[in-house]
Amino acid sequence: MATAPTRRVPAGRALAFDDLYRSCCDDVYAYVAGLLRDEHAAEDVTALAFERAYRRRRRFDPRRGSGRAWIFAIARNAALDELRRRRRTAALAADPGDVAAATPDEGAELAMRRTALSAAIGRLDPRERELIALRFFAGLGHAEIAAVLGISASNAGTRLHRAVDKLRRDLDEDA
Amino acid sequence: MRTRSDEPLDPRVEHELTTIGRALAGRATDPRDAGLAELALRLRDERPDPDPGWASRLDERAAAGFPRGGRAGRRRAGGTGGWMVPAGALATLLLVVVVVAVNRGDGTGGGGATSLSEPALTATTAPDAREGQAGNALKLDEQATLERAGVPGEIAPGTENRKLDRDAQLSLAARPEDVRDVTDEVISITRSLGGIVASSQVSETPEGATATLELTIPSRNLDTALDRMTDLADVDSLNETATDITKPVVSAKDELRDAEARRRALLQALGNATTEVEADALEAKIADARREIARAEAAYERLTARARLSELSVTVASDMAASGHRDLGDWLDDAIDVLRTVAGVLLVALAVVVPIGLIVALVAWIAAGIRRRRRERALDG
Repeated sequence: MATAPTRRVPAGRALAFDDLYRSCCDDVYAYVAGLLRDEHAAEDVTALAFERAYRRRRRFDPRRGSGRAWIFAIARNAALDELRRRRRTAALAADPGDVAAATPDEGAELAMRRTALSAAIGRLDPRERELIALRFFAGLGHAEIAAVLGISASNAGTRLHRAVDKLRRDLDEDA
Repeated sequence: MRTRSDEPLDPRVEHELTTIGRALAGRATDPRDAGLAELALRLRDERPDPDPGWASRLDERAAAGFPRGGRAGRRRAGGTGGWMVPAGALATLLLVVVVVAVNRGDGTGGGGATSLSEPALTATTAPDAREGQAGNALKLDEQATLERAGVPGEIAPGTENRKLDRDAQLSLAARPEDVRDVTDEVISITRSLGGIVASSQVSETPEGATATLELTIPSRNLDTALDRMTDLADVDSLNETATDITKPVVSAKDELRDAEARRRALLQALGNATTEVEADALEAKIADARREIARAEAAYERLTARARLSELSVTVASDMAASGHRDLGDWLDDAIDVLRTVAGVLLVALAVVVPIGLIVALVAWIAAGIRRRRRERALDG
């Protein structure tokens, strides 16, 4: 499931939209899909986010953060708008297996482990699930997560740790 | 994409986050943290991957610069920022209304007959017939020139208490269609300064119109009246006459005082009269004294009225060549006037646009805050 490492756009350089798109597209999709837990909605929101970013690319200010944090902030707003619009947060939380379902050729134990993990992710609070998606699906560092969420890096780290800890305890209880 | 000031992390939290980071980067971790490292890798493996077909379609759209009309484009129409178009249109409309209103106000408020060019004034003081009567008429060419040059009320030293009999004749030239408006403005100015219109006559012929006005204006307002009237149209000529009537006024006053004193003396003598014949003679003299007083009073009143009120004769005639020959000075005056008007319009527009801009910015800031809160609430659901 893991994808190849993505190419990063050097911070402080004028925004090259093509580079940003190539380096972030899959990561943005992974984050949005992890948050919405609906692959079709994630496709729409990801496309919308990149289109918005493209239209606003001249307004990007490198002094306010990296291009990567900027595109994730746009994607987050679009995803939250989608959540509000569809009012499906509660329903989606109860449908954890939608995105990362086990494939038939995986071993039974591995499939069970994946299902358990996916279910545990689904039981997380949406804010915690968002942190998991940003860190593990999109590969953002603490500083980038902080920039996207508009909080301090230490706060982002603390909240991420809390989410991971909750997930770990949940999986331990299942085991 | 906002950032906040940072605080140090709890050491245990920092250690575990470092372990996660090392595991995700494929670096070795402490064996005691093997469970956490494994969880980090399992979470990374849960990363959703996009459908290759969708990804290639999005690549194409990105390569084409996200042409409008696509799926995202339709959503965008109802998304954030849509309010900016009507807001911008409203601001533009307001600006246009203000500019139009200012232009209209400028066109009517200044008087349709107001000439853009201000000709050189011929402020000469013509000799007056009454000069000979007083015998000591004061020629005020210099004073009139000073006043026309923008030094109002400056008079020769030592003349502060002098009584002046002033009058003026003003000839204005206006476009044929403006003669009546200029005449109305002259009457309006006269009334606003406490004057009266003794007579007015307007004659219109196919060749043009002419208005003649005889005005009586308080002397203290004569200069103001002339200033305002000469702004109404081109000035053909302006003649001002000032006659010093201080001596006749003083003489009339002395004469009056003497007559009153004589009457008082006669009255006193009448009180002391001892015979009937003497009393009759004194009473006849007292009657003469009364008549003398009345005559002196009337003479004094006439003179002070001449000093108090000025006669102003205004002629407004059609200037058939008003739209004809114009020299460089006229064009320069027009250009300065246009620039002044444009500057005024811009200033007024700025005075309107800046507050509107501030209000729009405030509303946008509040709306952004509300939108942010609503978005965050979506995660609480």
